[in-house]
Order: sequence, then C-alpha cells, then structure tokens
Amino acid sequence: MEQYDVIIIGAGTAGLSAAIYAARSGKRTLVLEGKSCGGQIINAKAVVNYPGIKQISGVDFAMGLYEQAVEAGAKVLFQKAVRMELADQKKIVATAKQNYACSAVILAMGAKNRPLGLEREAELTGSGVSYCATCDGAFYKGKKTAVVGGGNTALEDALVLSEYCQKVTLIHRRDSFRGEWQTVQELKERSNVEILTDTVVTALEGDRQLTGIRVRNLKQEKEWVLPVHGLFAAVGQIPQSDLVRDLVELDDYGYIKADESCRTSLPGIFAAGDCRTKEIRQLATAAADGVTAALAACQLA
Amino acid sequence: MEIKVITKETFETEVLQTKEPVLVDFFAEWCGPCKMLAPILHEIAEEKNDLKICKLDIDQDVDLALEYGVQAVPTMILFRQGEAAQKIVGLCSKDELLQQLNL
Ligand SMILES: Cc1cc2nc3c(=O)[nH]c(=O)nc-3n(C[C@H](O)[C@H](O)[C@H](O)COP(=O)(O)OP(=O)(O)OC[C@H]3O[C@@H](n4cnc5c(N)ncnc54)[C@H](O)[C@@H]3O)c2cc1C
Repeated sequence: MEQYDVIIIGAGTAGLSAAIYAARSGKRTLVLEGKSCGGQIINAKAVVNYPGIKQISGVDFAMGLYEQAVEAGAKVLFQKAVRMELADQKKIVATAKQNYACSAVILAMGAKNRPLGLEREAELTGSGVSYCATCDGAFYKGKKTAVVGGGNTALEDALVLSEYCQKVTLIHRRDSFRGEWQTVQELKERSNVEILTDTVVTALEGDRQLTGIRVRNLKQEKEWVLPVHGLFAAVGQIPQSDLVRDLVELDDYGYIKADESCRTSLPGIFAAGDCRTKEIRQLATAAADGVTAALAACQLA
Repeated sequence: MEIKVITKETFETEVLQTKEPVLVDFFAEWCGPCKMLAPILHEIAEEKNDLKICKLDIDQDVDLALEYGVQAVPTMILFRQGEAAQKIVGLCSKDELLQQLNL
C-alpha cells in the first residue's frame, strides 16, 4: 500500500491550501480529487474579495492554487475517496482504484448545491435545470427563466439573468427575502423581472428539455404552469460529508464538527473549509482552515 | 505519453494516420474549463500507454474545429483509425471521461 504522511480529501481551496503547507513542511502529501481541481470557485466569473488579490477569475485562482500545491511537492490524483477506515495508528483511504495509508487525514470535501427535491430533477439537470446561473446562464440568452430561493445567491442569480434573459421569475416560498434589501429593490425596478412570493415549484414539465414548471401559491392555494426554459435552484448547500458519516461527529445539517484547530472528534482526522461547522464559508476562511489543519496534521505525521 | 500540441498542418499525420486511438482536446487559451481539464488529461496521458492525446487551439485553426463540429470548448474527440468515434463537450471528471470514451 502506498504510504503518505498526510492525505487530503478534496482539491478545493481548503484542500489545496492544506497541501501547500503540508508539502512545504516536508510531509509526503497526497490530495485526492473526485472531479476537477479547484472546487466550487471554478464557477465564479470573478473573485474580488480575496485579501491581497484585487480581482481574479475563479479558474485562475484555482489553477494558481493547484500549481502552487504541486510545485510545493504535493501529489494530486484524480480519484474519488470512497471509503475510510482506521487500522492501528494508520488511516486507510480507499478509492475505486487503490488504498492509501497515512498518519493524518484532512477532510476538505466542501459542499454542493441542494437540489429542490422534485421528480426528474436529476434527469433534467443540464437540460434546463441548473444550480449555477453564473455558469450556465448564457445558454438562456433571450429565453424565459426562473430562479428559486430567497437568499443572496438567488437574488444575485436573478439579477445576472435579467441582463440577458427575456424574462426572469424569482420564486420564493416565504413572503420576504433573506438576501440583501438593496438587491431586492434593484430587481423590482427591472421590467423583465417578476417576483412570486409565497410560491413553490411543485413539478418540472418537458420531455427531454425543460419547457415549464408547475408552481403553487401557498396562500391562495392556486397552481399553474409557468413556461420557462431554464430553472435555477439557489436553495442552499449540503456538506459532502457522506464519506465520514459513521466515523466522525456531524452537526444536525451534516457539517463535520471541528474545533479551532480543525480537529474532528477522531484523533488524526481534521476538517477544513465548507464541509465543517462554521459561520463563514468563503475562500479566505477555507484557505485559513486548510493552513490550520495542515499544521496541526503535520505535528502527528 | 506526452500530450502533443498539434495544428492543422500536423493533424493529418498525428491524428488521422495514427493507428492507435487519439484523443484530441480542442481548447482555447481563454477557456477556463479547458484549464481545469488539463491536469486531468495529463494524468490520463501518464497512465494510458495505448492512447495518444493531442491538443489543438481552436483559435489557431478555426476551420478544422468547425469541420469536426466543435462549437464549444473544451470539446474532446476520440479518433479511431482516422474516424471521429466519440465526442465529449465540456469539463467532466476523469472517471466520467474514461467511461464515456470506453477506455
Ligand atoms: C458560484 C460561486 C461563487 C463564489 N464566489 C466566491 C467569492 O467571490 N469569494 C469567496 O470568498 N467565496 C466565494 N464562493 C464560496 C467559495 O467558493 C467556497 O467557500 C470555497 O470554495 C470552499 O472551499 P472548500 O475547499 O472548502 O470546498 P469546495 O470548493 O467545495 O471543494 C471541495 C472539493 O472536494 C472534492 N470532493 C468532495 N468529496 C470528495 C471525495 N469523496 N473524494 C475526492 N474529492 C472530493 C470536490 O469535488 C471539490 O473539488 C463562491 C461559491 C460559488 C458556488
């Protein structure tokens, strides 16, 4: 079995930041990534709030981190971690291909978008249903779209889409928005934006491509079909913590519980970034977690 | 195997006349997902000795890209015996890529 000092699961901002520090500390460092490196931020057109960098595209930010980690000596492999177990002092991380052993594991699996929970949602994802307006919005130029959600992401998505869509309907289950008031005002001023509060989506219409959505007003108990080509879900996130569900303590929402040093309930296992319980989920906090977790892990490895 | 950068001048010999399967990555310098794909292709190139991987900058050879119906980047086309056998559009994981290409 291949041996490492530190294994990091997930090559997002937290994981790659951890990799830079672990590798630079001289530890044999492996990063496992199930998709492409960079994590969520590759979907952001521009990042303007990372301290020290005025503006950068999400992809360039991610590639910079990736190259920095590799140059520091970390090994990045595109394999999804599917199982983790403990064996004496060692931790074993398994992918479909191979098992790897190490002294310390850093969990940096991030979070992914919460589905709406509608029938055929997975089937129509990519064929009308999307979770990222910044990524997929351009495919709906001149078309009718809808956004579901009540937070800042939903508001921003609606704003972005209204720049080039024929019409944007913002749908929220409550009567007021959690997101910024300013943005709500801006949306109200746009002639091609319609806001439906107290309303939920109940079904997706269309065979292979979305053609409409069935919506219901909860107060008036009224249901009708809204013709749209694109439906953007912005109803929050779920942590990717399945891998360790039975190993470490999670909070009620599935986030991994960890202390100030990113230690989980199990010695030698750390959690960093969006997958752990914390207040602020941003690049800067993900990077900070990565650094903290790596240096704590290095003490064991 | 190394990933080769090809152009329309070398396309014929490097791709069409090659016996082994050739995966051509149609990319553009300005394309973000293409950059994310690069390390994945690199890893596949290191692992698979029976597969040749080439990359072609669509801005340098628009005509060639259009000839093969490339309308978005990244697009990957697997050529077998000079024939376009499989096409994948967009960024995907390594597993998805290998699965879709039956490799
Ligand atoms: C569209 C968008 C725009 C944003 N804009 C900003 C911004 O401008 N500024 C800002 O500060 N923040 C922004 N954020 C938030 C920021 O992207 C996140 O806080 C940050 O990405 C968290 O990093 P992470 O490493 O914890 O998790 P992620 O970025 O989610 O990375 C986790 C990685 O782990 C991988 N993974 C998961 N499970 C496994 C497994 N079992 N095996 C192997 N790999 C696995 C995933 O594929 C992923 O690559 C934005 C988010 C989005 C979606």
